[in-house]
Amino acid sequence: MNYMALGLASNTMSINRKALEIIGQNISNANVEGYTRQSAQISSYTYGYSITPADNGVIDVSARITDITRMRNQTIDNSLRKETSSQGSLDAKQTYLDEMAQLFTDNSSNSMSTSINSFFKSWNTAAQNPEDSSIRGMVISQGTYLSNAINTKMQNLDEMSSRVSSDIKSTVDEINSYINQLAQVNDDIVKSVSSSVETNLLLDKKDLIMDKLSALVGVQVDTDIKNSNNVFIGGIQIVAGKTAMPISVTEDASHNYHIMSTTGKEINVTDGKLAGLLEVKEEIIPQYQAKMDEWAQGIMTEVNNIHKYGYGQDGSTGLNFFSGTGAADMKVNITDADQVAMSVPTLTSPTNMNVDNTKLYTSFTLTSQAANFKTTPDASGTVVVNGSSVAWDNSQSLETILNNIKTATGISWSFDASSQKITLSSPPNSSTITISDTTGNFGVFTGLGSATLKTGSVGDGDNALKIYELSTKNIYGTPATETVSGRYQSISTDIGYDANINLGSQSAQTSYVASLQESKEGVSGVSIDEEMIKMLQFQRGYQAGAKLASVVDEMLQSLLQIT
Amino acid sequence: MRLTDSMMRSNLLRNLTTNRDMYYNLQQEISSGDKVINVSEDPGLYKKISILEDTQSRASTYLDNISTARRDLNTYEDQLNNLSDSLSKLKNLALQANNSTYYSSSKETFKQEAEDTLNYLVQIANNKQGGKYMFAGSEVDQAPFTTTTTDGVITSVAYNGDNKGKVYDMDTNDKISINVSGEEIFSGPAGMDQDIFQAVIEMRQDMTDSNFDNADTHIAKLQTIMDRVTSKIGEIGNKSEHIDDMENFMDNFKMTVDSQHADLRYTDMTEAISTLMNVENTLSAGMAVAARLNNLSIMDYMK
Repeated sequence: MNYMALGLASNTMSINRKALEIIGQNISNANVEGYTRQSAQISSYTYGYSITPADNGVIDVSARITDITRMRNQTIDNSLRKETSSQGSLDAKQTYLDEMAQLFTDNSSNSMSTSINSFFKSWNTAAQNPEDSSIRGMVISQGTYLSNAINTKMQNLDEMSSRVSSDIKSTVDEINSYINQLAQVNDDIVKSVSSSVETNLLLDKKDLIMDKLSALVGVQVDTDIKNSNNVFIGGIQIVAGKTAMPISVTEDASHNYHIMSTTGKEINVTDGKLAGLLEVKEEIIPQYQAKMDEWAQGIMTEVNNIHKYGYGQDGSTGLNFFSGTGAADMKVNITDADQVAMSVPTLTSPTNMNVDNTKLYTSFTLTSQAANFKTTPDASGTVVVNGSSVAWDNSQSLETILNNIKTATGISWSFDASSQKITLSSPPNSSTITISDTTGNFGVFTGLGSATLKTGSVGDGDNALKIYELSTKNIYGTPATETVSGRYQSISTDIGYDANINLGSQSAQTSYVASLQESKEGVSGVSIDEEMIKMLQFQRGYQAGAKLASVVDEMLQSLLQIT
Repeated sequence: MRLTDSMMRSNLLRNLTTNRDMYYNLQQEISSGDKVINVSEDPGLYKKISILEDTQSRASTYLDNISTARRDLNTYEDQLNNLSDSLSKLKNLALQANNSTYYSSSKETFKQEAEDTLNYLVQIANNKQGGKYMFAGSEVDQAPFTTTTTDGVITSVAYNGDNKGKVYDMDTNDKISINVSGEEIFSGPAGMDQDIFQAVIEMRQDMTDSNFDNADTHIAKLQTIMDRVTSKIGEIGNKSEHIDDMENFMDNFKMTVDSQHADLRYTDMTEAISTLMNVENTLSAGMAVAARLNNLSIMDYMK
């Protein structure tokens, strides 16, 4: 019995020493990333029968370490990896959305709104001082500042897009590095299992790689009986046991990126940092580049459509103020201040029209004023202005007829009561006014038809004023609901909302991942307090075993002294 | 739930980071004076601020235009008052000349005065303001009136300008047109024989010829011309009144917009500093807890 008791004491000491070793290992690895706390699984076992009759054959029971367990919860691990992938995507997007939002936030040193307002304001100033070449030059300068500001925004987006491309490539490299490491660890695990070597640390390494890989790309895992992992992205295998199948990234002619497997299959990446980066590269940045293009095209088209029908001080006409196809290459086309089309061509009736001012707007009829306006009174007629036929009859006032012409052609008119002259100003889409095919012998139009188109008056700033008035005109949308400033504000706030919404999702996801991380830590993390308490527990166990040996030894000595 | 050292550390770090972020954002808000540093913080507020800034800029432009239009109108009014004074003087001259006895003794003086006034009228008609001929319509770079002289005496005056005025935007849908052309003021309605220069030239000729038969005609014509000028001064006065109304409206409007903008855009320092102090306290408390946690060790109680 005593010899058996000594064996029991020795066993107790061994078990407790081994358990203390595991505690030591846990403590020393407490701060090691990816380390999973281990726990000795101690269970009782029967090692023989008592030899004393008094025991009545009761089985002697000792304890042994049946396993050293890694404390993991696979369900939590899987959830954590899945959610980490989602967070990786949101994090990647947030980085660039924040940057874009900052880029589109006006501040005192960088304000697109100021550039827009200064540009239009310069046209207003020029409209008041069209004869001043330095002020006309300011229009060119402000146009250049505006187009440079727009170009710069596009360059910033392009540079960002290039950085995202580099980020995509380095992320793919990082993923491939983990793929290779994973294949290597798989191989090591299989070999260890075959050689019955402890695999816990290798499994920790594999789990850590999987954790890191999940943050970069959403993966699906299939673990075989030997704890070797087969890993897939979007159903395409990237690790098959010890075989690594690295992925690659290719760029097509449209600058779209494709993630390819070694077998040439395209991989659909839906989660992880890589997915977020691909979304930024292929959707978010192009979306805002397109919006900027549309915005810049709107400015160019509207300004050019007015500018080209006006006249410069040097008599030039038909010139676009801006050139370019979009936000990236928009620039001012005019270099000479004399070519800035400040004036609107006008056609003024000869003197002696003798239009009765009071009757012009109210009761004037062709019949009552026939002597002044017609060589031969007619009841009705047609005038063709800039190709549009406008019918008139003698029941209408001259005002009505002129307004009908305005509706048909866009030609505005004014009447100077003192000089008795009617002036027609060219419409927005033409730099000339032609009046022809007058039938009915309406003297007003006969007179206007024979007048000379007046162009390029040095003090005429009407065209400049039209361009200034674009600043308050809705030109974007169908129907048009946004001004130049308004559309830019919408682009800025759209980016703001995108960043803001993503930030909300990112915050929620971060909290969720943190709670999963806590759950995982709760299972796998090392608690120093706990380990210290366990240390006391096993220390006492060891001491008790030693004491047992000592007592048995004393008993044996006592027995030997009797004999 | 098992609590590990790592969990406590990462929790602490996360909370400290959150508080640090808030602290940093508040510090930025206070030091810059702007509520919104990045549009993503509050896109709705940012848009409101942008719209108000756009409105402010437009209102400033309109106020500038109103100010320029008033300056132009005042200049025209001054010149038309000068013109009216000269016409009054001419009318008095005509009335005096009607008295043949008195006229005979001062004939040369009368003639000279008529000639001087004519020259002065041409000077007014060709007056430049800010380097531009005021009465030339849009042909501001050339003198609108050219004179023909015979033996150093003006015999006719011709108008070379046009009738184009200047338009100022005082609001999105409120324009004011300032159109005071030389033809309108000096030449008068076409075919109505109300040309100022022609009237003075004819009067001077009758004075030279000692012809008093047309005196009443001259006086009546000058009166008609004076009425026209007075009417134009009245028109300018009406426009000035409209401009005053618009200026008041636009000033008030801009003041309201400025106030709304200031409320939305700029940091409320009292609120921000009070929040900053709260965050500071939370941060200090967090750090104090961290320090305490770090000092607590089971080892201190184990022998």
